Amino acid sequence: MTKLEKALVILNSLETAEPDLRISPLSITVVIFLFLGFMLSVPLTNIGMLIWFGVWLALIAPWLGVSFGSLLKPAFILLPFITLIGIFNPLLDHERGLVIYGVSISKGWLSFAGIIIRGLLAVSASVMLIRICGFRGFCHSLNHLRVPTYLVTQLLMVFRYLKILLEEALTMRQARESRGYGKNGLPLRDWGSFIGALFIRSVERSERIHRAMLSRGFNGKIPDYFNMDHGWKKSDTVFIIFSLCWFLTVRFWDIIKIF
Amino acid sequence: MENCLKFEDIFFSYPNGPEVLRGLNLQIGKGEKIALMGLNGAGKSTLLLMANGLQMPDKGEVVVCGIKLERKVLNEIRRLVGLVFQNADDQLFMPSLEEDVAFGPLNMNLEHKEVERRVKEALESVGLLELRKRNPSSLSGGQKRMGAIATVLSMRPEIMILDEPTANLDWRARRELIRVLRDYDKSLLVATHDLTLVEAICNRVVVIGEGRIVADGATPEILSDDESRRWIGLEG
Repeated sequence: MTKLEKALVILNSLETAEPDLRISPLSITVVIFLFLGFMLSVPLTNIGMLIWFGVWLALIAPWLGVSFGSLLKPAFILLPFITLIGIFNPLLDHERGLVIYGVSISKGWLSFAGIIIRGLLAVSASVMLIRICGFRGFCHSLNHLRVPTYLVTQLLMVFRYLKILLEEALTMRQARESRGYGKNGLPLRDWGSFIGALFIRSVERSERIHRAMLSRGFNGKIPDYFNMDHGWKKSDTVFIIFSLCWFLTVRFWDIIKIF
Repeated sequence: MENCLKFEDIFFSYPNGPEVLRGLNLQIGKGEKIALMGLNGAGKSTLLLMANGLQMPDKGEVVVCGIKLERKVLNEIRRLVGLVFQNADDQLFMPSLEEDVAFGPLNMNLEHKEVERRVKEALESVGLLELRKRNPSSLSGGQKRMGAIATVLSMRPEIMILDEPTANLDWRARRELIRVLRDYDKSLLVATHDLTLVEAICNRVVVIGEGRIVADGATPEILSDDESRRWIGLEG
């Protein structure tokens, strides 16, 4: 299976994933939003607090049926982009931040490390949310949280557009390979026209699909056929309270300093 | 015969393009099964899009079951006119086949039980009930075409319009499609080049040429007329 085909399989599985019935998609969505909010509010150079957020994620993920390692894998794919955000910090900020066994670490390096950890945790938490809820379950939760319908529909459309993009890329790749006479890869000079053609094809296909949606009465909201309401259980309340206590404790009480 | 679809003096041209439809007039009665034929670029697909309100004419009127086509009544028009697109991949966009078939009835704000009933009926009529949970992208070409038809059948339109329904189908799938369309008890308008399909299900053939209707009559009559055959591209 090529990488494109694997990516398509993953997208399909994310879209159709059935939410975990131990807790409702709504409670996991709320908790992940709280996680992101608290985690991103941690002072730039406080690595210790961030590590405790990571500990929460590492404990909760297996309980919800997802391995922590599998969450980090997509996060590491985005690592180069996350790194670019803070790459100049060590060069610009030389103020002493920490001394460990006589070795001085500048605030620039601490903030750089903080950005990387934040990025990895944010991506891992988001991936966990979608894996557990399924993309539709997540969008259903957003509806419950009174996020404007059109925003939620836009999210669903973006997700669907990704699928269209991958399908068209796959078709173009197959067409190229069938006339490639065994040559692998695309020469650099051809990438521009490939991407341009891919963009045009995917936009045209999206327009045709949109027409098909309109012809069947689409009014701006993608209807739910399956009942996504899993109700609210005691475990949801316990989960939210436990997580909130953890976040508040970690965020406002520097646990590292105790040790 | 009561009309279910009427095109009156239709003019249309695409932006920066030639005039595609020039004063076209066509009436389709209730229960009629009509083949719309003509060369590529004659305006067949454009006309079909107008019937569903996806394209508005530059001049002229489209009337569906007595309702004049205007932007404010598009929802009503789209309940009455079911359009099956040429490419089934464009019509099947939900994660599972049953959700695709339910899409139309759900947008009609029907009760969930009624939607479920219609989904089951539509899938049964095209022989795809067992595949209801499948992702449409994993279906064969013929199954996708049937699935696309089911998405329209579930809406129970007064007229079903199909654009080249037998394109890329093998003979078995084509026979199955003909069976489904023959059993369909409401009006049908099929844009097609497939003579087998036309002879099997259509009692009337309308030929478009140079933006207007150039021939209109009973199927055997039109298909045996030399001038009509020229307009369809069957000369020689």
